[in-house]
Amino acid sequence: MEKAGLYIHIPFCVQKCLYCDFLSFSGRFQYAKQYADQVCREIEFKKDWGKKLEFDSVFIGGGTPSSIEPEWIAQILNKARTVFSFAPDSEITIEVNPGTLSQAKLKAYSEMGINRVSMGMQSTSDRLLHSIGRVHSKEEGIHCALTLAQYFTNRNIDLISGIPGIDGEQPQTMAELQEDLAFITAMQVPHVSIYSMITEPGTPLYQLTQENKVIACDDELERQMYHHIREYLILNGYDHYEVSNFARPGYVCKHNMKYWQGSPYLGIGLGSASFLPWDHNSDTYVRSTNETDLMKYLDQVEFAPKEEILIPLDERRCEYMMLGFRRIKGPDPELYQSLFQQDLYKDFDSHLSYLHTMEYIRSDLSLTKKGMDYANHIFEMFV
Amino acid sequence: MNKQENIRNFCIIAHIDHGKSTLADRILEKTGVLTQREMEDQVLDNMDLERERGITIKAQAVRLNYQGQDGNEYVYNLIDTPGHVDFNYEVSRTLAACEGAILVVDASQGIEAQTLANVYQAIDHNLDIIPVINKIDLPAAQPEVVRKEIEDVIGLPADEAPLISAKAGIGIEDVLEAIYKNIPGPKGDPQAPLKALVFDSYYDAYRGVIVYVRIKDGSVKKGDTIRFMSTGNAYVVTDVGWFKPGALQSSDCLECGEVGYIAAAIKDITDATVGDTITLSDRPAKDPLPGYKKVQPMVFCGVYPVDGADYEALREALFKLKLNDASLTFEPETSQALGFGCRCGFLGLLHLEIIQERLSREFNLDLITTTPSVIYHVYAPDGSMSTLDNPSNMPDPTKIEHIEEPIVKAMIMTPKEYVGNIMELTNDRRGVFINMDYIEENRVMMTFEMPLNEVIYDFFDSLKSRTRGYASLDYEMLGYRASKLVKLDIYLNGSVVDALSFIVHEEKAYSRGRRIAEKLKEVIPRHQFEVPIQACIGGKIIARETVKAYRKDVLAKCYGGDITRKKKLLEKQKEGKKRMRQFGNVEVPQEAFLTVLKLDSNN
Repeated sequence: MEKAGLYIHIPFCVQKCLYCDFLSFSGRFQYAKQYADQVCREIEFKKDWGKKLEFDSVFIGGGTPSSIEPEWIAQILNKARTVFSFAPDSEITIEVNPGTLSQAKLKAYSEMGINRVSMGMQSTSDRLLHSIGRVHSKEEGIHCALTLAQYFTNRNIDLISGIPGIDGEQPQTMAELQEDLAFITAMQVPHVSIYSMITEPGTPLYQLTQENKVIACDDELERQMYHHIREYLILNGYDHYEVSNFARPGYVCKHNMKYWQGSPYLGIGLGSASFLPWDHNSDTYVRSTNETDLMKYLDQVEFAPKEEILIPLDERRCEYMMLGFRRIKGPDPELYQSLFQQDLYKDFDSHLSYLHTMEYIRSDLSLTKKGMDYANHIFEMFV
Repeated sequence: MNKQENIRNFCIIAHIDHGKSTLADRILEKTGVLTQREMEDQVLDNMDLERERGITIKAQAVRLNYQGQDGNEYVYNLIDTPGHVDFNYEVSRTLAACEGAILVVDASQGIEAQTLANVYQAIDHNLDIIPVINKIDLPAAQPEVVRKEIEDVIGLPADEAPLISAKAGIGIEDVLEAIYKNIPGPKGDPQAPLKALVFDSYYDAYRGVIVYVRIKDGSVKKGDTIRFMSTGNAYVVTDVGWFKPGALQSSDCLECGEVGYIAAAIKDITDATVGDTITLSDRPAKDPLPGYKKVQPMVFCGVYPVDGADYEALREALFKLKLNDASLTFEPETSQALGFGCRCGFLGLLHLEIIQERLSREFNLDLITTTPSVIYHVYAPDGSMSTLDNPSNMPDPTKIEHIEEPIVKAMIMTPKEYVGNIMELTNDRRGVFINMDYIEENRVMMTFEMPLNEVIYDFFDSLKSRTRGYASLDYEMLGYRASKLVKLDIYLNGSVVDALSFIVHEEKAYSRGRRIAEKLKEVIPRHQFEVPIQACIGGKIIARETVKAYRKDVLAKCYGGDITRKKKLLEKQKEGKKRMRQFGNVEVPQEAFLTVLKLDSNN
């Protein structure tokens, strides 16, 4: 049976951050219970979808899953476990945010079989946390990270680099970023995701930028930060395994790797995306997206996808390359061979030799430093 | 057959937005040519571009039958005229095809500079003018004030001017009645040798050039051999007829006084130029109709395909456009930076923009347009003069004694509260104030002498934005005058980009050079190395900017739910890069060339 990932979306948040473009919203907790019930119904409805799959990773993301009652998380997880087949060594992750956690919640997560926790810290600077609309302080973040460590070994912390100066604030400085990094190593967190801030259209940050109320982080500084992060974390025993992800040995995120390896995944819950073989021809895959309106989702009986895109074989190959180059090691030729029964080097000969001449990649397909800085040039070649 | 005395050939003169097209629609509706349901709004402006911009670019004609209250049956030929200063020659040929004109004046806005210019032109062509006051249903309408204005400013009796609302359909019958009463039937001798005035033409893939004509003398029918008097070329007529909205109606013969079309399998498009006279080969007229002139383009620029392989397609497209547009000129040109392209001549900046848009819309061409230029007169030390319309061909400074540039008389009509703004703008554009007349208590006509090269750089747009759209502009050539002009070059990463060079007055070179460098810095994407941008005059650097090496060019996040969107984003970026031009190792987006054009519009 093919190994697959299961994604479960919990859209509730205490407060939506200014930069956030995920499908989430502040409050509306009155619907949380109803939502959990509906997610369970969706799992039941999609029973057959999971028949040919074995899930060895589950990711409960958001939103802020830790902002709702743990018993509802347990209800969903138990439902998924009964309906689908889980591998014995499954990685089961939940996303949490400081300010929404308690010892009791963590204990409950651990008891329901969750074995990995991903915490949204974003920054250790109070002024920046405040300016981007986070609900927690540095102090609460530290407290939360320490508590997590008592219950879980497999932990991740999310950080943001290149934070712009919003509404009178100055942008993030290199010194502030260095403090964030010191925090990571001090906490001995085995996995860290550091995203360079993206101003996505439709977010309040975008709006403020249009209104000239934002001082962007200087492009040169943003790159210096990126280079610094990489050097610092490698020096401290982390492997830089994806554009924005670092892990100590044995702590690579199994679930996220699926996205960059062309593996199938099933998304459950509001706006979730699935990537699964097409019923009529398994060479072709379907990427489908769930209903994105909460009220409509809660009323659904049929769970018809809001959008469905067919990805035929050729496009799947290209997508494999595009996503594969998000990994610092580059796409895996052996995995490519096993997925497509073809030779990656032959299929993409001219692309690869161009990328090589441009010094974006090495002959083993791994990204050079230049390749990491201009990775979009690489990705674009495969869209 | 139509009796000559019952034919009325007329056009409608109006300022943009005063309701010309709406009135034309109403007339069509009233005379039963179209029912309201059949009619797409503003039938006569049938190019998308015309509808979007609310202007008429191409002349159009349509025949209507009208049952007059006097009991006679009339044939009305309504000829729609272009309405922008760029198209003055087309307007003059259309006027020459008519005996009368309806002058539409907005009851709240009154007369505008352009209206006035067109009215004077109509008077010059001896047309009988019927003033009509439109939009009387608007709250701000002041029909009596406007009536007086027409009498005072233009000197036309307006006491019987119909008060109408084309939009609401009020007073249309009055207009229709006034036409046969006030406009004379066409004169001309039906027995004389054929003289047909070409006032427009377009290319039909199956029938060749369809020529719009007004028969001034004689008649023409299928099978006749016709001759264009300016070229001497002869053709056998395959079809004649008249115009229904959006279609042609064949007829046996076009008689003296009629307006219609001639098809004669004309393949050589340059043979059917506006203003030419058609006669019969075996019985030719002695002299052509007066007024034919080869239109002189005033503004020139290089037009290049983004993809070099499209050069032939570009030429082909220009040939086709030229068919409908005698004023468009082009010849092959090569730029070091842009490869093969065409040097095109236009009547003005609007004309340029329209051609550019049509090339991209109708022919799907991706184009780069270089900075427009006027024709300069360059005098060598030995006193000899050469013309220059391409900055790249500017001779070495040692070989220039002096340069002269074209000067126009610009007439601006405006409500008086904007006089200060206009003085400021014209001052900035090297305008010399000549005088100011009060047209009425609140409106003035200001006259300036201005270098044409200042007028072509989005002067009209700036004028509109500084007067909240109220000012109107017209200009005419005055002649050439010596001026201190220099060539400004732009260097990217150390190499000159010929397509960005332009000629500018010495005093303005610094500020312009600086602003171009600043703008280019914004639009040129970051490369993997620093890109210096320099503005230079004769090797002297007057402005410098640097595009820094780094930019964020990696998507920080890409997970399951995001892949579709991220792919679209990357596709868009990739598409954008395709539209770039490579100069040495610097990629320049098309926008950069436009930026130089529109430098002042963001003020």
